[in-house]
Amino acid sequence: MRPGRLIVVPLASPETAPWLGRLAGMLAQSDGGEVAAVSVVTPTTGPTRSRQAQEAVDHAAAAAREVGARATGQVVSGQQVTTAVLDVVDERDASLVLIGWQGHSTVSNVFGQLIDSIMGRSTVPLAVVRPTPEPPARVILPISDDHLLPGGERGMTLAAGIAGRLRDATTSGMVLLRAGGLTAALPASVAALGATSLELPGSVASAAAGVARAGDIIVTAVAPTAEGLRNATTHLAWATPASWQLVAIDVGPPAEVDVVSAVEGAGMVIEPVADPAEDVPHLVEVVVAVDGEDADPWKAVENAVRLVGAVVAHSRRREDGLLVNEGRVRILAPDPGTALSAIMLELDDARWGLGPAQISYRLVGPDDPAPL
Amino acid sequence: MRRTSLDAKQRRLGDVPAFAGSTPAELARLGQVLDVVTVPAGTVILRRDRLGHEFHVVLDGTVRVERDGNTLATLTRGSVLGELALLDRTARNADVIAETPVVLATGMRRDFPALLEEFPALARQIRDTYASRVTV
Repeated sequence: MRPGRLIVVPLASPETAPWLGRLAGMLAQSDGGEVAAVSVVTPTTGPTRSRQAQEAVDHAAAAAREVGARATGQVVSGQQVTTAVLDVVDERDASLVLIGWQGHSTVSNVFGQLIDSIMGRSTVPLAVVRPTPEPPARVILPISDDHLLPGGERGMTLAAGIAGRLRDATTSGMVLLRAGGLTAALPASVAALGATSLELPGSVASAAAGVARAGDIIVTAVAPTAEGLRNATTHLAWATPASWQLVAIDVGPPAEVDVVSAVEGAGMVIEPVADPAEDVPHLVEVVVAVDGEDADPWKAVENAVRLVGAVVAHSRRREDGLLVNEGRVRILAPDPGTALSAIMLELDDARWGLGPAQISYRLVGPDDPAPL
Repeated sequence: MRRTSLDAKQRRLGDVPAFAGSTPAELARLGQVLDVVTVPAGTVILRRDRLGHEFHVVLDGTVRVERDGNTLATLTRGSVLGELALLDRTARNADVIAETPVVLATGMRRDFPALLEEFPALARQIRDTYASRVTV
């Protein structure tokens, strides 16, 4: 993120606008930058939504000004929301897009259709923020070995820059969280922060869960691995529900491949020019069966699959000395193959905790009620 | 859903040509990394231009390989699906559709290179398939 520049904040709802405006203001004010709150109305936008769009940008700009930043609010018209937002980014020569996120993913989208679309087409970095009603407190910057892999450094530098600005704008300090026994030397951008360092075992998400309090702002970079993407997004969101979460994504052309690679590894797809007809997600149902002789593994399975879908039915029985669990998972996906892939990826991560248990899958067909 | 124990899965895998002659220890290893997946007839198992994260071995049933509505091949037990996208790290190059109810043994991308090293017959089968599809 270049200093002293403009942060564009696309807004869809007046409810989250003050939180996002405040955070953008904190980022901008440290070096005299400016916040541009933007809401888009399309030809199909009704009068209520148009009024909410104006309220949203007004609330966000006011919140940014409260923390000392220059700020404007603008409702723009366009045929397509993503294009209209990116037009503002280009016209205003913005240096960062800060956008709100609800904290969950679907199979076909990492952050949701709008954010993923912006992520796929933006030429400036993104800060994807899941706000909480708690006032921003400490800044927590997790780092793991995966962040030091080739392709990870730019994202980490972006995250460190954002974390440093937020630290400067708060009085609660910063914690550098070394997750999973990181032993390598810190990147220069991280070391320069001079933050208090804390080491915790486990993934970024589990380490953050061990230290984060309500209102803390967890700033994460996306490590260039499948696990890195999930750790920075859904896993972290689940693990730290009361904290702010800011995912720093360097989507400039040189780093775009790394982000896309991580997204692909997680079983998701960024398609800058998506074919709407093929990408319309629909509900797919998969029966996941687990059998084993030892401890009941179902809880671990359920915890894993609920990251991508919902368990709508579950049964448990003894058969030939084995404990057999069957769960019916409902998942939103563009096609059955993608649905299966997403569930299998999540369970692949959880497999280490299942011992010798065997997992099998059955796709539920339209003529197959799959009674449980 | 019929339970698939490790023993039953290993027996089914041992019947597949790519794994024929494998020792019990090798079949146990396969059983650890391959999961059984059952899909109904008509399911698009692999979609063209989608990215690949898994490979499949057909344990039972028939699949149709299709591109632009034209059938390129019909494959049955023992066929390996989705492996080329993993080798090339590219998108799938054709649709694969279940013509009948199909049972697959499915593994993830990260286990694929090790399996190729450990199971020469699988590597040979894939190499032959790859050679037949690559135009020099």
